[in-house]
Amino acid sequence: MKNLFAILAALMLPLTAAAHGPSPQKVEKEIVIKADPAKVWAIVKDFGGLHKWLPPVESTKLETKDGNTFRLLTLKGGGTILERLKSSDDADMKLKYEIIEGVLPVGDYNAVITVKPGPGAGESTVVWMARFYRVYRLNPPIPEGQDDESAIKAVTGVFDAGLPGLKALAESK
Amino acid sequence: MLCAWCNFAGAQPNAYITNQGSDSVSVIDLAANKVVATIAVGHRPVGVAVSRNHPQLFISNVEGRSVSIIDTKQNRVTAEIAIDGSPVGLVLSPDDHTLYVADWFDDKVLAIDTREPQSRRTVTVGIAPAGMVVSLDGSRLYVANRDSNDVAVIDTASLKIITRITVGKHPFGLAQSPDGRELYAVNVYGNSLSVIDTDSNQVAATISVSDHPYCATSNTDGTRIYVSNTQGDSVSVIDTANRQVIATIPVDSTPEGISFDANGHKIYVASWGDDTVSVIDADTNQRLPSIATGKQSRAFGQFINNNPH
Repeated sequence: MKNLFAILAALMLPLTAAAHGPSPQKVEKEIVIKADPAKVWAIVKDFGGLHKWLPPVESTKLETKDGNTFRLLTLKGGGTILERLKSSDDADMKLKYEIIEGVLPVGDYNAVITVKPGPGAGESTVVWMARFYRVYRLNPPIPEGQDDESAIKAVTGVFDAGLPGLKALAESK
Repeated sequence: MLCAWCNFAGAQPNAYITNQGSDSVSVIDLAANKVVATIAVGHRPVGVAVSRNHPQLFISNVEGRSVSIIDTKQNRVTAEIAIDGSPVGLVLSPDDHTLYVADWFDDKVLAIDTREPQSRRTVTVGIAPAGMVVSLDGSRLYVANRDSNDVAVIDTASLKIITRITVGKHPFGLAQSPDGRELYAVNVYGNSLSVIDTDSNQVAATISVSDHPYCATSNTDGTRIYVSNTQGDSVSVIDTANRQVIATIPVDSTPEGISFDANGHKIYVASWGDDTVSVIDADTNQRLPSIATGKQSRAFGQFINNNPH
């Protein structure tokens, strides 16, 4: 495994030159979990524990540098995604993070996971919302795999795998 | 009802909110703070420019690759101009005779004669041109080049670039003070606002705001600048005298376009993440009830007609 910060350094140039599609895309999903909000939030805020509830993730490597917290996700079947924790708010039970680099076909990806009490007593509702752009930054025709639909499909796939995984983990004893 | 009378008189200003996800524009009566009409436009509308002198406004449809012209008396589209590119930012000259259209992918700005839309001039600018401002006398066009990290100063008569001013990382929105002496470039990756002196074309100050700021607007007397922070889910209030952030007001999710209501002393900001417009009382910096719009509201540009016809 390459050193995380060697990867980061190599990314500096493409990052500053980053460009993307013209319309931000949104994927928003929610799930009701039969577990106390505090328990669900404890799982969500564990930034290095994503592999415990997101099935496509083989392992999560947590690193901090200059006050920033990163996680490098290694996916089953290969590929990595590097993410940075932007904020973790215990009062609002809200976690924000961004993708620095990775195999998802998206640009400028920012996401927020919010845990809310209810609808029933002892239940939680988790809302996962991401804002991102397609990768291709020229006029049509847009190559297959770099369009809005591909970006939305990839993010939807992550959320649809993750939320039931989070529910299963939180509802287990 | 008083407000019903206001609608008939047409004297009250409206806000025109582009809804990216609904391909529509929500018309908000600012006296009643409610949507009074929804106008179908082109695909993925983003930019808006309201005419000062005519009951007219312009909408850029970035994926539809067109500009919709709306008659604000009838609240309907009267024409759609095809754009051979991807129009995002829009701004009108003070006399409304020229519509400037920033083409996000082709790195150019079109100057379209609004009385004869097929008559166009073009200037190549920096990479990913976004927000624009025209000087009060109409002689200068300022363009934020998002991926060049600068603002181009363009002579509108010759349509030539006079200079390019380096600002923070990824400037998107652009606004100016009411006296035209200062420009404000909102740096999305810089998490800051660059204050540009328009006499010297130099950056006079850089003010830190919140996460992923997007757009800015001044109040009527120029004492405050309001900045939307898309990832901060907030609006930063800046005191222009000492160039300090004096308040950060939480708003609905992912705020983008922001404009000032001169009559009502209110700030309106399109909240893309919640399909709403958030409203702030400028006298108290307190939130007022939000207004539901179409999906993924953006309203990129000055979207309030402060001098309605």
